[in-house]
Amino acid sequence: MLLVKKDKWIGLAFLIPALIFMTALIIYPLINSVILSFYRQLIYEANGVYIGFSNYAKIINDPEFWNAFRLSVIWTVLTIIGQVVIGVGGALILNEEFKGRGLARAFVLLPFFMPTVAATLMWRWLLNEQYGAVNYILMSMHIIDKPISWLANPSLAMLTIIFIGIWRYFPFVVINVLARMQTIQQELYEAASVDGANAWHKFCHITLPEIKGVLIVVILLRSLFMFNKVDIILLLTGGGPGNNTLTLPVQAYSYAFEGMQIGKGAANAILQFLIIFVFIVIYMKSTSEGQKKGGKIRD
Amino acid sequence: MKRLLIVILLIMALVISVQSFAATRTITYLSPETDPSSITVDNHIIAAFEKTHPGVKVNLTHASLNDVLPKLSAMLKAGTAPDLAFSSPKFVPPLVDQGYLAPMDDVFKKLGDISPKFVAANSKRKIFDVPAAVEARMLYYRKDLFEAAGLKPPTNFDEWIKAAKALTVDKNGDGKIDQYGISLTGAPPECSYDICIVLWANGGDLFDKNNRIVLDGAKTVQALEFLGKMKEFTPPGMATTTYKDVSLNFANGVAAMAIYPGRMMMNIDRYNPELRSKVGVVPIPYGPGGNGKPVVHESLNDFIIFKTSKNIKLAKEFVSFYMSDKQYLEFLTASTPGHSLPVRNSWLDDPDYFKFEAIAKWKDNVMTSMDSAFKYGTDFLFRYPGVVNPYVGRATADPTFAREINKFYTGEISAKQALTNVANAWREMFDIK
Repeated sequence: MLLVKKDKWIGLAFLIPALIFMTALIIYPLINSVILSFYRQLIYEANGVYIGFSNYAKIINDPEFWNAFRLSVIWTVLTIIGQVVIGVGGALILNEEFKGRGLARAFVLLPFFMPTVAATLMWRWLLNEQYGAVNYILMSMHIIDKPISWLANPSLAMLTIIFIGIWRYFPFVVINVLARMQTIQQELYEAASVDGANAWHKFCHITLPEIKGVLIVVILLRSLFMFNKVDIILLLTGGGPGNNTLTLPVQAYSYAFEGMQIGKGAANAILQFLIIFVFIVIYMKSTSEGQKKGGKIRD
Repeated sequence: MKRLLIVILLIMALVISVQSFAATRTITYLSPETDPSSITVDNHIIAAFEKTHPGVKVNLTHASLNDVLPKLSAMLKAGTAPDLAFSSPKFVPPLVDQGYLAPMDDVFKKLGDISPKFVAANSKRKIFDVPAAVEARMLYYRKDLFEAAGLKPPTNFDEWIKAAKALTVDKNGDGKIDQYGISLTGAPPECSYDICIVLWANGGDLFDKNNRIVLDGAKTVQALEFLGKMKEFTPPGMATTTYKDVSLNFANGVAAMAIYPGRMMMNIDRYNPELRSKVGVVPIPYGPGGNGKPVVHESLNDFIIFKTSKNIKLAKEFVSFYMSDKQYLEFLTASTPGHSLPVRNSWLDDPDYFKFEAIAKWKDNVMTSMDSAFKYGTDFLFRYPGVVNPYVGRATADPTFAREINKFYTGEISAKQALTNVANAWREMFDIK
């Protein structure tokens, strides 16, 4: 849509507050972080020492960085798979008519809207070795004979936080997929029934193609968000036991605010940004293709 | 006439408000003490100060203990630093080196009865922090359980581990342990802080008197290995047991011993007051590598004033006021009773202090803590009197330290490997050979 000159200035005037906001909260910190990443500087130092790419070299040559990268990928991929599978399943169920559907929809959304601190504290108590309900129930049912250290066992800690990550964010998938499902024409399902299609056929040949566009966007967005997640992991395990849940964002936080090395923390964060940038490019391509096809995501 | 009267009244009101605005001086005080009782006490003291200093306002702000330095750093760079803060001596040397702190020799001299050993040594050889209180990290133990088991409070590592073993029992015969010998902090970031007292008790250390890193020395490794053996007698999940969990484990009777500062007394009063008469304290037992004397970690809290303050003199008056008379008594007794112990010699046997109800209930334990702190007390910055250590604040905050200790507790690496990894990381970080 072309703007006449007057409309152009009015449009710009409306954009200015958002541009100021973005500059102050996104662009300036990003530029500052890039600059900081070339310095050796402690958090309380007024000025740092310029060291060029030394921070980047140290990080890239540090096996802990690659371990954190591996854990970030595992965390992201497995939580996304879990969120999508359970989210789509939940949306399918909530798309059906049944008594109490409204209440069920509200309960399903609860994990997503619970404050993060409350949610993580709740899980820490549930999973506590001594007095946690999870161990108590499993021992009462004779599934286990002694308490399991869900968050303290190096083999289990990552799986446990992945489970919690799926629980917390699958409602996001439910909301988006359910909204799309409710726009699918019922005549398609009726026609399929007439042709003898069962529930699985209907899902594969009607539902899935129809929700594919939404799923692509949801998966990309959730991947970005999950890769960047600090709060849940920091509050549940702090990156422990040892380094077994130390993902890249938690490592960056650890360098900057626990180790006081803000230059190194900034370098770690910039490297993560470059990794995430790839995802952003894919997302932008995906949405721009959708816009070319008339302003919405189509198959 | 009426209009003229209104105008005159408005002008008077304007003049008065401008005058009071011009006359009001404000100082900002940052504190990490966020217990409701501590906040109440601070507000009382502030109100009393404002009453005796008309035209002065004190704004109280807070940061959590782990966030004090990052918050202060951001404020210093933004030019919004508070006038004064309640802090830890660990951070005094680097803040002095950066030129952030105002000297407080005059306040120290005015108070007159604080031992110089409590003042953080720094490169400028002046006094930049005024110690306010000391907390003594002691070994809390269950007198009743020890008596029932025929044990005495431990004085060395052998006795200590024997006691822990003897007190790890299945009380009801269902095949599950329900009482553990000891609860220890295993979760980052506190796990690295808590092991230091055990390292010192065995003659080990983080740095030597020449500020060389000795964390990977034999005595230090031996001390950490000892803690690894003690892990067998701790409640499950030690690798995620936080500092607060230790307090709860002891207060709720899950563990028979715990290393903790005086805050334990408050927590017992809060969660399980019936336990009070059954709790005793002793210094940390010495190890085979030690010098035969027990150790107490006397962790200090101090006041610091920032050079950027526009009211340095007023901030100093506030510190002197806080550390005197009824105000100091209220701070010592009402904020965290038994936790903040006096550093002013004249208060060590003050009858009003011991008459205060919260202290009187715990009189024996408080007196033992105070005596032990003065006899056996040590802290990071006071290992070698007069030696300036600019590294220890960063070293103890370094996440590598806590993570490697945590890896040892989960069995992933040996004590030697954990401490070697940390020592090497520090040598690189501080460029020390």
